[in-house]
Amino acid sequence: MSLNLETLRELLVVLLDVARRRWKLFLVPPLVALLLGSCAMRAAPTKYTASSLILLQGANRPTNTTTFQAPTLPGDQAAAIEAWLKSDQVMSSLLPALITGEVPAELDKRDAMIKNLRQRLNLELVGGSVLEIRLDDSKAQGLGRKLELVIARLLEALVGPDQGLFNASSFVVTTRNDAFKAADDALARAIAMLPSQPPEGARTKLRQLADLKGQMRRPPGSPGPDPVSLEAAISKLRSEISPDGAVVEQLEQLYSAQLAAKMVLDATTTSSNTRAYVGVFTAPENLVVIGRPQDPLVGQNSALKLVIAFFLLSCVLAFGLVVIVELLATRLRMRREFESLTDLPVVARMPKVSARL
Amino acid sequence: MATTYKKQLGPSLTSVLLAAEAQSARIIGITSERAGAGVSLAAESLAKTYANFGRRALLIAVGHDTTAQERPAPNAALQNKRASSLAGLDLATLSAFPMEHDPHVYRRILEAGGQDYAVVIVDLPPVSAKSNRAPAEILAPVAACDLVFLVGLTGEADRDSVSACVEMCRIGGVKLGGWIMNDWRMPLSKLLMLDTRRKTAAEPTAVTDFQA
Repeated sequence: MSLNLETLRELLVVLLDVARRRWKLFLVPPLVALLLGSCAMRAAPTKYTASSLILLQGANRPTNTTTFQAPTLPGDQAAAIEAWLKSDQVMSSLLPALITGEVPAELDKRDAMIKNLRQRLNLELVGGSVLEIRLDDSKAQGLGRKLELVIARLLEALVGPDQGLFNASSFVVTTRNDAFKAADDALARAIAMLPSQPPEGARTKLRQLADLKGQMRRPPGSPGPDPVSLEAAISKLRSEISPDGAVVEQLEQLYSAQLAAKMVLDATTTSSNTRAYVGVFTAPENLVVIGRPQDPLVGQNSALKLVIAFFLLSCVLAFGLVVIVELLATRLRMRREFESLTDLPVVARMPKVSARL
Repeated sequence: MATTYKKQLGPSLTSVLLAAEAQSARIIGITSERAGAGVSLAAESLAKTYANFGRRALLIAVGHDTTAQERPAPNAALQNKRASSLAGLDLATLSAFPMEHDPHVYRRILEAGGQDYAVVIVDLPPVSAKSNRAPAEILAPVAACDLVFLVGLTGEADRDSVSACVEMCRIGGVKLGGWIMNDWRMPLSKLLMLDTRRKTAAEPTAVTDFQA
């Protein structure tokens, strides 16, 4: 016990001695770090953050249960909402309102802006029922308004329906409608190129031509006009549409394509008017935005965290340097060092005396 | 002054005194591996410890005489022998003679000079391998003592110098009693003295025997 206490006292004294001798080595790296850090903080821009909370509990309240269950939003669904909000489509629509000046025409510059905006915008699920949304910027003025626009865009999607969001059936209808429109446009462009032919008249003749050709495909012996008179009528219609047989052929193909697209579209059920929004809530209209976003009053220096990390690192470095220097030093400080090195006992220790004897 | 001494260094050095008494040493040398380690302070304090215990002590400071060119005369003696302000403690000096490698010469001088004293404390020059003097010349006055204690300046004593010093002493036939650690440079050095003080208090019989 006595030996342990003596060793502890010796260690304490040795540590104090190391601190006394190496204080410059201890202090210089942190001081240098502080000096460089202060320069970096002066040079670095101040970052302002506007934030707002969206309470999700109201939107996710269970309706048919007798026992209350704490409604929560799984983290992956929050991540999905964030991914949607940060998608190119949404970012592109938000970009004009969130940047100062006009959106550049160059694609690469616009992509860079979208990437930057994506980094500045953060969503975080707090406690499973509150979604915190933050927007960073180098200027405080107008930041609250910008965040409000982002939240509005998010809420539009959450309470929907939203233009950019589809369920499965509405997606199919949309794509088939697009296909029909494309075919119809191609037919209209071809008809417009016909000389002295009104568009409606041409379309009527094409429909008649298609009907006659359908009759030509009847099985032999079935009732109806004879094939010879049908062929004569077809030839007459073709010549009325255009004297150029190739043009009529192309028009016939385009009309067939348009007709097929129309049939596919008509065949699609139109009962797809189900929810078309980010459907993770049972009652999205009950989403509660806690406080309108305001312009931040206090900014945070963007280099602060870096400076703190650098300072801590320099402290560790200083400590490491002192340890290395002490390990390399060949000075004897402890009783056991004298005894083990020379095999001689330490019979006495002389402390510092206040006066010469 | 004596009160300060008793309070500050006396208890610490009593263990040196006991160690010397245990080996029946009358001529006690104090040296170190380097100059400035506190040898003179330790020797002076030890001599005063003896005087405080009522033992008549002679403190001899040995220095290298740079003016002497020849071996000492057969009747060489201590110089500047005088009484100190402390009762029972006298002081003297002795020049270490160049080219003198025989410990017996010093032994004869020390015995002759200290014959009227219970104990002779010799403040010796450092035993350093880096000295420009021959090891035998350095060791001659050291080897003349009955028992030699080494003073190590804590925090300054270099490992290699300490090893070399002890090795030289052993080769030169010096009887080493142990280390006196000089904690003068260490902060809160009085913390390190506590155990020595307690150890001394735990052995009152030995101290009483010594005083008797």
